Amino acid sequence: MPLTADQVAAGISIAHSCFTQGRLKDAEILLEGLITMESGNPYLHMLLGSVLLQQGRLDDSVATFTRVIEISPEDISALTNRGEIHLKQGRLKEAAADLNRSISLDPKGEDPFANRARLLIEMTASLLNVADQEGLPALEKARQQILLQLKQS
Amino acid sequence: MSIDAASRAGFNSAVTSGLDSVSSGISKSVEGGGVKAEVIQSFRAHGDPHVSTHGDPHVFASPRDSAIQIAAGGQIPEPSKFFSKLPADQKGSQGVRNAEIADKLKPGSNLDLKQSSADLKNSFEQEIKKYEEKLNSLGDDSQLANVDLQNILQKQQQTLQMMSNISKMLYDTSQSVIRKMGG
Repeated sequence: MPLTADQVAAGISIAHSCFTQGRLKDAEILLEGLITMESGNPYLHMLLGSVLLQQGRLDDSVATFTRVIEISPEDISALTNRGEIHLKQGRLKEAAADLNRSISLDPKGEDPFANRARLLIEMTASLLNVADQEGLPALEKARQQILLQLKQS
Repeated sequence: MSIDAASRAGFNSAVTSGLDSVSSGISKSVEGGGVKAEVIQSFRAHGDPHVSTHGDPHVFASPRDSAIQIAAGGQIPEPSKFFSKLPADQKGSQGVRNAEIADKLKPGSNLDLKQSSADLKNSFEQEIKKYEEKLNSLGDDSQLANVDLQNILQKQQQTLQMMSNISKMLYDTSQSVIRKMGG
């Protein structure tokens, strides 16, 4: 029997509550089950991706955000999140592709997720320059200086 | 331009988490054999006036516009906002329109969480029964199909257990509210 809008909404509300309360395992179990019934729902995969990311399961998280993008190719938040995971794991080429795509979908600069992609692109451009010209020790020094300035501002 | 404390905190958090991701990635790439020129080029700064650094990474420490919203690391949209941006008539696997889901998720909607979660639990029970029957009807030569079905069945059974706990919790909460109102 197909799920109704009320049932789908209830499932999403409960899973989202578990997530925001830090009950990540509960959210994961709920979402895995809901996905067996509603595999085409991009938000279920999106939320699961975020749950897996919070649990430090980066490869699983990438696969899940990839599923969101397969369903909704222009989803800016999924592109930014996947791009950032690629970045964390040193896959700079893949990261650039996702983050640039995210930015291109928000020409007015209004979307918070596209703005995060902009921030990440800018930071990477700047710090790649530092690493390229001065080596990794200089990268760490630049990082510490930025953190210090943030604290002082 | 002055910036309020909440915006500042949000910006700092976004920059700090972003910095971790960037540093980690660049370190891994450099240690892994260097970064190719075309990859560096693909990160060519866009010159976006909102977050442009003009080549100075320290500029990240000073937000220039408190109106800019930057998502936190790992953040995802709120459910109601997400669905309201999807094409209204697009349907999920079960044929439910996005517009209907968006309607149920918005604040002040008529969604009866207790009843709907009980209904969802029943749907899982029916689905599990269906999969169990399918599994029983399959012969031993369909081992691959068996593994997939068993995997789905296990996930649904775990979710059903979770839904049972949640339904009980919602029932207990509503009983407690009713008792307080009566008392």
